[in-house]
Amino acid sequence: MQSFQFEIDEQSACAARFISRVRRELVDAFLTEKNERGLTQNEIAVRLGVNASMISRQLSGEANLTLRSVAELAWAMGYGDIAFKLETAERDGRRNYASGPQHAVSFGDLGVIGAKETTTASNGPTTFLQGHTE
Amino acid sequence: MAISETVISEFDLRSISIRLGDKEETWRTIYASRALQVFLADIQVNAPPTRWEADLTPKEQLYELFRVFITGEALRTDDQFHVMRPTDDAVWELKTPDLRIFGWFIAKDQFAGIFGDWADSIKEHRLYAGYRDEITRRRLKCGADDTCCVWETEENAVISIRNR
Repeated sequence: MQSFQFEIDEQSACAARFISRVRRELVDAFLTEKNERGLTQNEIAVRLGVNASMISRQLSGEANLTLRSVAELAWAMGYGDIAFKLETAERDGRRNYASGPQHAVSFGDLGVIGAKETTTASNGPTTFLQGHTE
Repeated sequence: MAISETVISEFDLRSISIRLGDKEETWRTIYASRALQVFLADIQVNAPPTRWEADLTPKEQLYELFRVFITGEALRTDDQFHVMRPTDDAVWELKTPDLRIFGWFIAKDQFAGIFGDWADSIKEHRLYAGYRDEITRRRLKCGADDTCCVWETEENAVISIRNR
């Protein structure tokens, strides 16, 4: 079977991974607190002085997160510390694909107008955030 | 479970390939129909902006959705933050803030994505039932209902989680 290669540049992939990981950590924390002590998004909103819809949109990915909003959301959920770690990238120029791209379908085959992007090696830095309860 | 040639042919299925991190490996497979390939290619080439105020562009949202699916990470199914949920007739919806993908599980850890669309367009024009019905109609037509369709809608029936 042929594969369809969904290309993305290394910079965008790195950003997508990091931002999604941070958001998942926040959602995990919220759901943990919700299950354990009944925390609601409205309570978080009241603590932060914002509309509850903003909390919902930030956690669902419909509104952007800033470093400040990450820290404030964590604080409002009762998490007192946030870990942040950078890991050095391995720069050996290799690419790791989910499945072989050698039989990839081209955009031309699909009738899509536009040039195919070029990509670089995928060994971007890895970062993560961790919170823990006070 | 092997996918029948009839099903592959009916939908012109291709497995979606993405770049993975050094330590990541393929755990699940996601396929794209011809219609979904065209939709994805348009997002990829034209890179439209988010229709919300999301951190990620639609293209980045799709990449992350595919990466999480393919590498076997957990996928939320049962709360307001779900990224995957069943509709009727074993048709599933994968979601990002801006986009939706509809399809079904041809086997555990193997998802056939058939249609992709913008979330706001689907809601505005009430397209959920139309996509679901078109998938079930064509799935029945090519015999996939009997040969390659996971009918259970519990999470552990359709996906396994890496390292769990």
